[in-house]
Amino acid sequence: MLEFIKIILTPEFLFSVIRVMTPILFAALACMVFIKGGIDPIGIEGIMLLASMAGPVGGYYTNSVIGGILAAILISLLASLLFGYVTLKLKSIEILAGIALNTLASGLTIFIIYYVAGNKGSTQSLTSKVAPIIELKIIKNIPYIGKILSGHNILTYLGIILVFVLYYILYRTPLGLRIRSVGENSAAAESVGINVLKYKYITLIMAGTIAGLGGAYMSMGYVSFFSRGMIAGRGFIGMAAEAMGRGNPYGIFLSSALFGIADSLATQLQMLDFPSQLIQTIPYIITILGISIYSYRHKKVRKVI
Amino acid sequence: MKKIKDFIKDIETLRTLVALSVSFLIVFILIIIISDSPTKALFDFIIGPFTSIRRFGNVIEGSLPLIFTGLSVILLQRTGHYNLAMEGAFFIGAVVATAAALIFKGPPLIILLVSMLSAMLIGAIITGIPAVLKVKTDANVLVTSLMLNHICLYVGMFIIITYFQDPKMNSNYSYMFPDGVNIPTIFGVTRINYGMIIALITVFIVWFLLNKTSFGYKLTIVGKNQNFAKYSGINVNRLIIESALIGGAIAGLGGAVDLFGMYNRFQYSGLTNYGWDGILIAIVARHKPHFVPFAALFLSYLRTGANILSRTSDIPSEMISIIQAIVIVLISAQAILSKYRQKLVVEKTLSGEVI
Repeated sequence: MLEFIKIILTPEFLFSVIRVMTPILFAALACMVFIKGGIDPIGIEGIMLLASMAGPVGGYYTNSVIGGILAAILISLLASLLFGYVTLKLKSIEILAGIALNTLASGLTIFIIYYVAGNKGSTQSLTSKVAPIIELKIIKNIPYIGKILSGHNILTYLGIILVFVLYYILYRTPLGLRIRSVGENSAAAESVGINVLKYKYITLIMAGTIAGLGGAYMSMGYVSFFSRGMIAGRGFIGMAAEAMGRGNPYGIFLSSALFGIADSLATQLQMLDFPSQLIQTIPYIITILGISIYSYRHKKVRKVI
Repeated sequence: MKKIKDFIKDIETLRTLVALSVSFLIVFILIIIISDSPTKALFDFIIGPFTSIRRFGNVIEGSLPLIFTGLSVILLQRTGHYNLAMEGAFFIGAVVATAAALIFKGPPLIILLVSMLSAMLIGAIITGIPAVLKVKTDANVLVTSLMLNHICLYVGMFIIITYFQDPKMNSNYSYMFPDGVNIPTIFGVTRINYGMIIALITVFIVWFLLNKTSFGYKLTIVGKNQNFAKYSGINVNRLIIESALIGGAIAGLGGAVDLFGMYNRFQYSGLTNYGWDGILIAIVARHKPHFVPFAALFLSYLRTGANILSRTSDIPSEMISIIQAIVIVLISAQAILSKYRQKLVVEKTLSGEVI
């Protein structure tokens, strides 16, 4: 047990928590924007998968990091807008359209890398760059904390900055107010002259971009290549983190961190010969409990009203 | 003289056909663009599955798990909730069936029965959890069921690796099942087995349940209008849980049937995706149990064709997912043909033919 606590308190462990939580944070923030705008976020898994494929492929063809990230954002924007077209214009059921998007992404990514990289497994044969690592100048030299906070991928810092930026946009600007009013009650929003369709598409663009960054991080930071199915449920976990963070950017940051801790713990405990599979279930169990407790309270409040 | 209801039914059929044709067209164009010898590729894809008994057998045996998950999805979504735990229920059903088959001693037939019943039980528990949480705490079914799928995967792998892994095998394979603990094949050359009989019986039971009992009737009312159901005295919460339990039991049974019919030891390396496929099956079958076997055969036929194609050409079989996605979206697209439907209904009403 002592050994266990020692491991948790090492800066290396806390560093890995931040590294592991980054894709979940992006996913959860994208889900948050989707839900605020009244759009079901289940397609996030597929959008991120497409982006994680486009990153190394774009990076390979343009021979630059920016090219890769732009390709990732571009493809996730396309996917997000396609989802919008299908649900808003063709009036498909959102959840089914999202599931269709995930299905499409799982096949299409393999299809594309097969022609680009020559095998169905990964893009390891392509030389693509990863997003740069940033050393924070002053913080770096603080003992202990410097080792935890400095030296992360630039996309990790971007994700953390996004928490504050999104809070500002959603709660402190007219744009955010309109997005939220469309999401909360589109009929009421329309009655006061808000162009609902326009704000739905703005929501899709914002959330698509964030999801694209999350996907790009997976293949251009977390590791340096794309491999099939590499999002592995992180989009869904993002949905859960959003629900557990109660749709608030700061809450979402904390619940993403919880997933990061649980995931890093699983890796550490594996080394100590604990049954890793059981440890890996912890974040999911916590999520189910968290959502249930939160919803139960919410339900009681509504009953009183 | 046809009623308006029948016209709407016809439109639904038409929409399904349009969706299937459009998706096929897109894939044909894709094949023609990519392939060096498009005619041969198209032949392999469309006619390929019928060119040998073995290949045709693949189509039929591949449809087996899809029938179970398709039926499961029909029940799970009947009340209008998106409970996606059938994926986990199918997987954990196979795990528990493995455990039961390796623990219990006795006549093979009894072991098979016990294994299948335990798979059904665990499947029901798994899909029941999100439903109970929905009813008791109002937790989002979609999120809790997705989380449960991950839990099923890890716990299932833990059980297999810790207690039943065959040390002689490199992968996470379990020990072989005892002699006779399998579902025998019907035709020697193929792997078509008596699981098909179990599947068809299940189809009949679900059809009967939904169309000929008050339970099924109430379920349909809840799915169409929950408030109306509530005010007419139907216990909505109880129905949500009951339909989830039955749906999960079917998914769990599907896992066991797939396991004993196709393999002689547990050898899944992860979630099978059959649960997600079930969503497509349910949509193509328009949520009618008696259409499920045909929808399952259809998807299995596409998969077999694509597999043949990927062996004879350089087109990866994953292109099937493109068809799947287009079919799901277009069939569920309410706007397609809606003007046509409106026009038909108006015309028929004005002409006074129907009321």
